[in-house]
Amino acid sequence: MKLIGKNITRLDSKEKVSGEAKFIDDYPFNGIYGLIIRSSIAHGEIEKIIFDKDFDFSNFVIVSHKDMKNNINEVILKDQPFLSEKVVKFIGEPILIIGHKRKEKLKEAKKHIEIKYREFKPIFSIEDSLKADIKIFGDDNSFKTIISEVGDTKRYFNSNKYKKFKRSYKTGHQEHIYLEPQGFIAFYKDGEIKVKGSMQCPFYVSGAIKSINDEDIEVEPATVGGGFGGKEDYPSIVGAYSYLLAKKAKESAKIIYERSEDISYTTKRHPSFVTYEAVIAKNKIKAIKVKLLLDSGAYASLSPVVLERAITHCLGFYDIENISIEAKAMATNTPPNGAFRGFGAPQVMFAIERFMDDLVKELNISPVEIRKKHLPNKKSLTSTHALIREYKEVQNIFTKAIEFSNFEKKEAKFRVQNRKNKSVKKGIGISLFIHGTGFTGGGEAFLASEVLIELQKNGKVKIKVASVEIGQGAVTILSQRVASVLNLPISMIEFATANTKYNLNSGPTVASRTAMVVGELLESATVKLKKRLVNITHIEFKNKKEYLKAVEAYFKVDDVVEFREKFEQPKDIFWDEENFKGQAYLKYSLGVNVAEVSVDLKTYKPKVDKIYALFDIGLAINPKLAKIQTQGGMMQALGYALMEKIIHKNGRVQNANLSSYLIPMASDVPKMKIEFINTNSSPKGLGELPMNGTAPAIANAISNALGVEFDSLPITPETIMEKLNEN
Amino acid sequence: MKIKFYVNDKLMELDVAEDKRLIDILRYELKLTSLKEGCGEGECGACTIFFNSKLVNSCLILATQIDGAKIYTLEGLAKEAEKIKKAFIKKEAIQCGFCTSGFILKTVDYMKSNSSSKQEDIKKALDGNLCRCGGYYNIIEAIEYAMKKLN
Repeated sequence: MKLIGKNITRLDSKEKVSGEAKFIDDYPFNGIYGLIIRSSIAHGEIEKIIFDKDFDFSNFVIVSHKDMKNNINEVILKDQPFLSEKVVKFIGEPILIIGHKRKEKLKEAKKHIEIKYREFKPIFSIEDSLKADIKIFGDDNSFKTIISEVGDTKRYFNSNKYKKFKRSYKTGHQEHIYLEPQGFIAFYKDGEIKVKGSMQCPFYVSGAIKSINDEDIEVEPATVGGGFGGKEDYPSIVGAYSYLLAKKAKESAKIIYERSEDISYTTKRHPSFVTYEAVIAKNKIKAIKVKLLLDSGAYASLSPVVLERAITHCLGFYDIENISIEAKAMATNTPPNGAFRGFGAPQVMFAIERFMDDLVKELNISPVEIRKKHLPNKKSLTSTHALIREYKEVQNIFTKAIEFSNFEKKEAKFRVQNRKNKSVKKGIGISLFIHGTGFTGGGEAFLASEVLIELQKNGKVKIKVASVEIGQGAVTILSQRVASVLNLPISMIEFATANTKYNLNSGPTVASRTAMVVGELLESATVKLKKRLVNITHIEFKNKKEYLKAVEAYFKVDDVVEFREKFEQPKDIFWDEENFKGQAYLKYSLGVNVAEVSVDLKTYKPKVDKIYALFDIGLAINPKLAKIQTQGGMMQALGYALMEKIIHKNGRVQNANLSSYLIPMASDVPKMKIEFINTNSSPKGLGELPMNGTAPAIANAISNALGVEFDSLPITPETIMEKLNEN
Repeated sequence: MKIKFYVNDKLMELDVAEDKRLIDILRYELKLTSLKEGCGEGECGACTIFFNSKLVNSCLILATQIDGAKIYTLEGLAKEAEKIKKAFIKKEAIQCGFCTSGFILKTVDYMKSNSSSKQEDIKKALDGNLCRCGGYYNIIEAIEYAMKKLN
């Protein structure tokens, strides 16, 4: 039985359900605890660090930039130090790490360290950053600027013949709230350090640590309690700090973030400000100007790539011939923003799908009609000048979704209901969205991922890659892909924890690439194993029994046990990095969401009653686990739409706890009807797709219910009240 | 201060600071790591335990309140939680696993004092426990299944 496409029970359930699975803070620990001393100002220079003479610091280990040969944490640019030497650019910027055997002593010691600053004027908004009176980065405060043209927008915008339509949309920060906070232990034994912690990308962590003192340190994840992108690059910092402490103390060192620290200082989803200006003729967008601004925070971090993904997704797959894009990732004196499921796509998919619905009011056609008008055809080009190869699938999923959700009938029904019902208004909204899977542009070629499988003497096949189980089911689905090639039961597959010393670097656990990119490489490596077994033993094994006979025969005459495969850029994918043109992604996953909402006009509280979701992710390797991923992703997107908001005041997060940063609870769960289509094609990515469509569908539904245009997220009861009072 | 209390039917006698949290005593002194610290402020439910037959967030209990208490963690409820664990596995109610112990104890408590296996009633009972990975759906289904099929 081929396991690919089957609903086998996930492999890590037993140890998790018994409470035996060890997250980093569960490991027995004997050593010192670490605390990060951070900047209390948003912008300035450190003049002096004063250690109180009347406090005994003798049993404390203190790490500063002086303990590093290289202090630059190079994520993409070389602008961010591990520890500040002089300049500080956000409240919370790390300056020192202090360690002590007794955890309680750390907070006490912190009170006896005084840092004197010379303060500069800070920038807290994209608008102020654009003015560039105050410079945080370069001359114009932009970490990355991309200007892109397809066709001839000038011709349309300079003409007086056409109707023009302009709208702007705004989204705020979103915090991952992985239930397990950031944490690391650097184990010190006999002069050697091994680093273990909560992370998505062990090779990023080992690479960051190596860049400090050129030391090769073994890094491995513990059981990880959620990531969502928040544990993509940020753990490199925490891992590096634990390593530095352990090195200086010559003892094991542990750093676990408190929730308020995690919310206050770690990376978040980039706030966005997107403006579309379209030239319309015969209900079709002939030309469009897009201005895309992201708030990157104080350092570049992953912003350049987030910006790239935002550009490649900002028009969905709509057929628009003339496109002009100006995009910037702007610096502000707030904590650097980074990866969060969707990585720029949720922001722009909210904007474009709201824009389509706002156009609907202007043109007096329906949300279905306007999207139908813009569905791609075989000549349609993306915003990076490549053919939309999935045009048929896009047409198909949209048509099916209208039927699946009974959209048009419901819309009419709600319209009638709303005339009669004065206290509760009902609305329905749709979103058509995409997610390019794998790294953008030349990214996968740059990663040059490699996988390794190892044949054991007992016939079991051991997978040795860099993919980390963060709850998404990576261990299970990758094992299914390998088992399927050999027609074996899952018990014959072993999955070695992603260890930087013993496994190969198959790339980071991000960008919805695990099932598709890493999975495909593993399949190829397994085919190599199968071919060698068959060639050497001449046993064309069809089941476990025959396979074991073949393995026995094989080991009598051969001893090659390692089988590898390396990523090669497909010949038909062309990408020009310099001009940002070409096929931006290996494949695209597609989705449609339809949301039904009720808004109570007494409390202004919006309630999502039902979500219909159609997803095209190709073949789902484990359909049950895939469905659960979509449910979780859509709930996270529901939070983004309706309740998640970081409140900043003068650069400081005001709501750094779970009683004031609200995420969805069980009672927020709407009825969901989810279906996967196009399941006969090969697997595409799933992890991020569900994040992209739910917020715009809900926003469109609320706008539909109240007859008012909502142009920002989150849409809280306060937002609704203000908007209704305005109108 | 000296405290005497029962954890999973075993008598414990400890000498701890007055402001030591129960979550720290259970996780670090007694090595009972099934309960987790997700927020330290009683919002997420990951540190849920039974305290004198009531469900509490152990991060909010201090040493001064513990003397004489009867405490149960997931480790001590193997028998009571067995059916629920099976239901969680069958309905794929586990993803990263960090919230799992809290939800299982919540379910033990819910099944003790509720007979409704309706999803709407189960949902309301779960509001003190947060899950970020799975969207609650499969947890609700697992509890429904445990009540209908395994009771």
